[in-house]
Amino acid sequence: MLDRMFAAGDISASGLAAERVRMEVVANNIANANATHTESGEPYRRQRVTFAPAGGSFASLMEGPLAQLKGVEVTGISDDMSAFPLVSDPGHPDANSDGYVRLPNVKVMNEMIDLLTATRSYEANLKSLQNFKDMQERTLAVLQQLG
Amino acid sequence: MMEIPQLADLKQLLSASALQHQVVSHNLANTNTPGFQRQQVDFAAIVSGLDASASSRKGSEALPVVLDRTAEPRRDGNTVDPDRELSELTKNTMRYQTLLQLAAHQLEQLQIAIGQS
Amino acid sequence: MTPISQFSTAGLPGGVTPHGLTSAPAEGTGGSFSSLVKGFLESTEQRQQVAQESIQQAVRGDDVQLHDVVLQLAEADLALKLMVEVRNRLISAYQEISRMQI
Repeated sequence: MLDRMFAAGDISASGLAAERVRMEVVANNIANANATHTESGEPYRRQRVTFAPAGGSFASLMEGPLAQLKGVEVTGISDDMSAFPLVSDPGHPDANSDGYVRLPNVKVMNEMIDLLTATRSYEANLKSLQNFKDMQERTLAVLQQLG
Repeated sequence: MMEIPQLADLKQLLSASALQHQVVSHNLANTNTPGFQRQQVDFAAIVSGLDASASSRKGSEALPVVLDRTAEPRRDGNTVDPDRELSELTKNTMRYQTLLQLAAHQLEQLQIAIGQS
Repeated sequence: MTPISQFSTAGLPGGVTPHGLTSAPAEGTGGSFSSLVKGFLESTEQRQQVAQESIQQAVRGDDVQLHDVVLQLAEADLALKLMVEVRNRLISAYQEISRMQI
């Protein structure tokens, strides 16, 4: 009920939710940046999120009137398959027969930048939501203004 | 007792402004979506359409939302600049509130006229 | 400039069109006074219906904008106020006239 009237709020909310997921994934990458040994025996493999416009990934690529305004959605959390960097450390418990340790393919600097981007985006979506709330409240206030 | 002409225009502009907020929110939500291209409401088209009579206006039922072709893409093809969207948000919010007050003022004037005649 | 002269026969916006909305009788066409009043009452009634319909659409979840609903409600209120005002004046005019006959 009254759903469509507040659709703009849903759009911003989708942005907030998506950036939250990204922040969690990034935080997890950072926490495991030095995990040379996970349950599977492999080093920790970096994870990343994929975003797409909500309501169909082709919406952003179409020409002409674009009525699909539904915000964003996380379409998946996938493994980053880039190679594990090798570091020479013969004394390390996880060193291989050549004395090399495989490290997680996480570059903390990049993760920090991602975190910053996600945070900025989160705040922008929040501002949008707050503006929308203001606009709707002022619209309703007109009825009181006119008495 | 039919539609007040000035109020009809204000309502159209308010609808356009409400739509712009949706579009900018959508842009912001997709700031980090690869390949996403920013969009905006074509206000110029709406304003020029205001003078048209009601019957000719019916012709374009499509939403007046257009791709912004001037926006620079980043490496992943995304053309959203959060700062730009935020400033558009501020501008549009003021636009909406101004239009709203103008409409309310119109109605207030009528209220006064009814009370006094 | 009276309120009535500002009104035109442009359609109502917001995607809400009441069925059979008649245009107001033009001023000074020589139509009878009672048909003028009747047309006026009908359009006030229709405006109320439009506002109601608008609210129902919103509750059902149709794509209705808040500002459209608010402004339609405000206009319906105004129409009602005008109608009440006109009615009061008609009544006091009638009372004037009945007093004069004696």
